[in-house]
Amino acid sequence: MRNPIQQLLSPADLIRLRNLNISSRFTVEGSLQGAHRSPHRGFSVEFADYRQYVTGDDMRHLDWKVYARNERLYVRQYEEECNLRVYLLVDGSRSMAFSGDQRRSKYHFAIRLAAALAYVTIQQHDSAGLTLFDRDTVCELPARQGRRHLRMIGERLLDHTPRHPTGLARTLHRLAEQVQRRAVIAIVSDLFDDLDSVGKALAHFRRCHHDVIIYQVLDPAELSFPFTGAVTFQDLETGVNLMAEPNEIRRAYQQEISQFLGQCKAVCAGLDLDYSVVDSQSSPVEALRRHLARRTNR
Amino acid sequence: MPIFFTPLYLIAAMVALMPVVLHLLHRRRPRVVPFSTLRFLQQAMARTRRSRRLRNILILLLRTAILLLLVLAFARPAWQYGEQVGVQRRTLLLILDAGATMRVEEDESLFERARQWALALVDSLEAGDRLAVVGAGLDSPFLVYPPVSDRERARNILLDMQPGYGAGSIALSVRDALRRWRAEQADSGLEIHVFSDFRAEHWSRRKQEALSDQLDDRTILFLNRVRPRMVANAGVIAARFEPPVVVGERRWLRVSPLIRAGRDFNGSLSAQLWLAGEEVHSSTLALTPGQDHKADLLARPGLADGSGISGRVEISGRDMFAEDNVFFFSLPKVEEVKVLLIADNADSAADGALFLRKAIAPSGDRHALYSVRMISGRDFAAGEGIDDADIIFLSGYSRLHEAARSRLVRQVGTGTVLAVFPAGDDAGADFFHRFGDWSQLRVSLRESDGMELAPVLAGQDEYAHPLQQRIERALPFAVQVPLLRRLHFAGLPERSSRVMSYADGSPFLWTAPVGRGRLWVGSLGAGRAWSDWPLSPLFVVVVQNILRESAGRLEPSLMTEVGGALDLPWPGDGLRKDAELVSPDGERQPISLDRRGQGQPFSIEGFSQPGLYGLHIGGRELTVAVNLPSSELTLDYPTPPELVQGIGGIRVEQAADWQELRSRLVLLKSGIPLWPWLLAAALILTVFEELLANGLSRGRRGVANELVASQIGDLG
Repeated sequence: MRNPIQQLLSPADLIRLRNLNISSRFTVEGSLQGAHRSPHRGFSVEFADYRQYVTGDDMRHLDWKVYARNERLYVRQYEEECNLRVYLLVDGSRSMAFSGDQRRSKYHFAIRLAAALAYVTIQQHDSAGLTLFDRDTVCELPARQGRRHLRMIGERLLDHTPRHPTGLARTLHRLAEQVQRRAVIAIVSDLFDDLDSVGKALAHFRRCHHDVIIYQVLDPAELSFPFTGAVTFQDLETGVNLMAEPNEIRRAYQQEISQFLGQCKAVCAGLDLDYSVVDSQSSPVEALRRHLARRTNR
Repeated sequence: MPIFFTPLYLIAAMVALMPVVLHLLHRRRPRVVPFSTLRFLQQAMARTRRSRRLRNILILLLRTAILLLLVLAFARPAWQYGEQVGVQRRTLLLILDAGATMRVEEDESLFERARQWALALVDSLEAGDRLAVVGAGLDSPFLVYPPVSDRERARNILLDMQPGYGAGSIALSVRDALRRWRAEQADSGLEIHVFSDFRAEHWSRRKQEALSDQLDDRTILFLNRVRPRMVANAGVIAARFEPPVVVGERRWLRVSPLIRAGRDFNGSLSAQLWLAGEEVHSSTLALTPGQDHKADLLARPGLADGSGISGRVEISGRDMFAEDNVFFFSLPKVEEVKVLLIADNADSAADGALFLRKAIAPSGDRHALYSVRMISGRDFAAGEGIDDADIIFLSGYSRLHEAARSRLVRQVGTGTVLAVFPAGDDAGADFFHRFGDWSQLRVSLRESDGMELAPVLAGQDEYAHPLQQRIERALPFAVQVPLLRRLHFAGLPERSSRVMSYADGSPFLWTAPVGRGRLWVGSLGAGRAWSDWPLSPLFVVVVQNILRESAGRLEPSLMTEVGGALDLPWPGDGLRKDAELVSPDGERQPISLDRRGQGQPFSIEGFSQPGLYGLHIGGRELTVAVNLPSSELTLDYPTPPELVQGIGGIRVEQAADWQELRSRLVLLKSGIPLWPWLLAAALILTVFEELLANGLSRGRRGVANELVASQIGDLG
């Protein structure tokens, strides 16, 4: 039986993910000594600052160049580096089951993106956790390292079928309370929930100093609304039907969704969140590569 | 009003219900599409509810209208004009202008072009259609009347028609034809087809308005314009003769033709004077387009024949209207002119009779054509007869009492010419006031201190009499008159003319018509008491020209126009006279002349072509010159809008050729087809419907692709 990660990511995808790195834009707290910045200062690899020498300091850290210039004694301070924890929040609600052209649903894209992100995290010896939710939490895995944990993440993602409406805001609030230490929170969702509530939940994360990444997954059909002829649209989450002539309302619909996306962007920008809209019909690996490259270049 | 040529298709108008039915059916079974969330759809639906409703209604209306227009187009509707051009039997009145100007040639004559056009129209008629043919300007214009359905007969009449030389009074012909029609066929509709060049002379606005009174809404008038493309023509429109009559044996004759150049005529031509079949003088003129020009031709005619002098003025060069290149003339001969001289003392130099007598007959020859009789003022005042005098010279007028003055006024009114020269203490205007309504005339005596040399000026006075020019030619040098006193005139009567003036503007000599006669008034006396001018050549020249001018009125004119009449005074008591008229072609025609009473002239008619006619009457042989009517000498063509500006209340159609007329007739008979308009309207509505239903949305989908690209960030 194939590894669930291999079901989600092809060998070519894995090769492309191998050299990627994910890091936090802010300092993180980790229990292991890793490659990420820690808010705590000490004697570690990366130079942070100078302070005056006091009796008892290690003479090895005296900066003699500074002394030569100023005839004063200063010691170097180093930042302690520790490991990164990445929490993947994947929206498994019914709306994520939508597929405009009946090929791949948004959920399929979301789990592949989450798997790729988990792979990158664990690949760089950091910890990845998973929370899969719809109206409630479907499954939850703590942030761990190792390939076995990665497989478990893949299994959980594959096992779920979107059936229920979303409860994004509630899930975010709860998780914000749960995650104690600063981490990277990667949310993969279409954000089709009450934006005020979602915004408050995201603010909660920021108050806890987490680095939040939001991948808003949308199908092109949800943007362009390409339907023709008289259609009865059925809401995947509520089951409500609505008959409409797409030609008549296309422009107005596009304005509405465009306005919604603008609000999402504004909320995220206001909270200094890393926000992106991704096309569910594109390659999640390529999408992740570009995103991480952009984060690195900032 | 609209008519439908295939009304059966109107049943198919039921198909217009199809969009409604389809619309209702279509609404019930849309396909089901699962969608992630209806949240944005619901918001969009709420926003567009009103506009969608309006749009749907509009699309439904457009589709219904398109189908309806298509169905109507198939029913072949047409818009027909009343009932003038009958769908079944038509009645036509064809009026061809047979006036002289229809002889104008441009490849072919205008009349021939009109004839061919009329024949084409006749050939296009259907069995049962009736037509009448009228030749405007002909002696018997109603060639085919009342209307007949025998097309062959009408064709033959048209083929035999020839244009005349008379006036083509088209408007009058149409009016006359209509009057006759209304009297006989009051209740029928009528097509009137007029084929003419419609010159301004015969189709003025006033004439159109007069014609309009005869037209009603049962009539449709077709103005078929037959015109040359260019007016490259020059013609003789008039001529002046000096002397105007042959007095005795003349030694010279001056003929001054007036030549009019058409607006497109360029170049020069030669004007020739022909007498007795021989060219006696010619002159070359350079003509300006659209302008009149005068030539001067001189001849020494030699002995005149018994009746006078006749001949022609001809201009060379072939142009489009040859008939106006010749002007015929016949100047009558006057054997004797009875001159009466009224003066107190024939031998008194102061009185003027002496000088007048000398000036009237300078040679003193007993065979002089002016027979002069003199009476004194007293004898005249006593009632001595003046009835047989042709011309009266009066020297001094203030001595005449009222009765004598009244006699003079009556005599002048009957046709006698009176020349008045002051004498003695003559002054004041009351003598002249009785000749007419001349209350404005003021006469005063101006005296000089000693003999004054007063210049007498020719000037460019618009009231100058032509005699002034003759005097100028006779005396080309500057004229100065030695005078002691003169009469000053102001407030000259209307229709008066002056011959030369003093420096202060007062006339030297003036003249005015009085009844059938004429009055001449000099400012200087004929004697030496007032001035020495009787000793100057000016005095003789003035008197001689007054005589010639007056003599020209004594004999009847021997010139007339085609279609005109000649009044021939004839002595004797008979009211009927037999004569013979010889046409220019040599055709002899006995004629019988009648007059209304004794002393009235005989009226001679029957001049149907230009030329010199011989008239043998009572042992006398006269030559009568006949020219084209003056109304036929100007080729002035109004524009198409001007042709109808005076006609209102009826339909008037115009055409420049048969093809255009035929198109108009087809339209009028079968109406304006509406189906092309309906199809065009359906096409336009289809475009609108397509844009409204789909086109805007396609544009929006295109915009959506851009929206997708803009919304998905650099990750997708």
